[in-house]
Amino acid sequence: MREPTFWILTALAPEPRYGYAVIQEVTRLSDGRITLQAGTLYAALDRLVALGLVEPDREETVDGRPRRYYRLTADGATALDDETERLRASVEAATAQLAARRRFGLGPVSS
Amino acid sequence: MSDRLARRYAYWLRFYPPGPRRAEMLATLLECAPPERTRPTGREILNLIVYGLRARLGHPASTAVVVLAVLVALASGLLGAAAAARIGWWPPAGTCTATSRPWRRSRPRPRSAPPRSGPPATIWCSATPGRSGATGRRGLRRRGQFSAHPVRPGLAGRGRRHRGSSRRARRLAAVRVGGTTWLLFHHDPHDEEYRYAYCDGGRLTGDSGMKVPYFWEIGLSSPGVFPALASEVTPMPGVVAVRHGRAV
Repeated sequence: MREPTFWILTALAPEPRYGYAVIQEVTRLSDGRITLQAGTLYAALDRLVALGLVEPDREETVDGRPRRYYRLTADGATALDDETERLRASVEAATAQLAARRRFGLGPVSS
Repeated sequence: MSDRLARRYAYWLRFYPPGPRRAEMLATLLECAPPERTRPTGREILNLIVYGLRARLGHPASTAVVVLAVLVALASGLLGAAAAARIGWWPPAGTCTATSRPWRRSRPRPRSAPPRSGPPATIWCSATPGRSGATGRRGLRRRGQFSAHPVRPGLAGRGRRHRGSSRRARRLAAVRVGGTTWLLFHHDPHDEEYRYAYCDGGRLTGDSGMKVPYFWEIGLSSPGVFPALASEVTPMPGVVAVRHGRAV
């Protein structure tokens, strides 16, 4: 799972959101590291919809402009869960390796 | 969120297939834009172009289709270029049959051309679509042809053996240039070719035909061959000129 995909699923996990809200939420959750471009966002959403991980929720019109909301499906939640577990395992592995490095006195490890 | 910015975004959104997605993305783009922005950033434009074209492929679940599309585009371009190059080396339709007169080379030439004095050699080249009928006779299609008149002063009068070796030398020199296809040597002032070579198809008056150089006519597979041929032949002794012929 690529990083934009992961963050989009994460942003949609608690509640349905529309495009701009997803971009904002991803920026907030990633501490500003990730700024999704609109093209990237909608390409990923299309792919996720095709995979059944995300589905359109409802449509509103604000200031004459359409807002389509997307929500996470059960499959999407499972996929995000699996990815989170995978990342957690990766983080734990890297943490253990860095702890070993510190034990052997091979230089500083920022905490 | 100016109208101008919206128009500019809408312009780049035309890379996407028509549909509600355009309006949806326009709303998102405008919401993302800071208030002072009046035109899309380069990154946004690039993003819209790339993903818009991808959306037109219609298979957002797979990236293989993008690779396939690129390969198809490359193959089409290569094939198109190859076909265009091939066509470029062929004469336009009709030039092979457009000749207004029969090619006379099939007629036996007089073996004893009269000795000739007069101006030194001329080589001229004729790229003559009309004359391509000559090559049609041979079952070939040619772009053009040229004629060359190699006469070393004094050599012409020395008899056929010398002239023959001179001709052979010229023939070798000319054939060394890639893209030449055939050679015809014209030495008979009564030959029809002389009229076209010197009088634009009219009659040669008196014995003027005896005073002008004889010449080679050499087929070119393409007019682009001519410069190489000219630079090869021009420095040769006795060669006065190399030039394209005219259409007849």
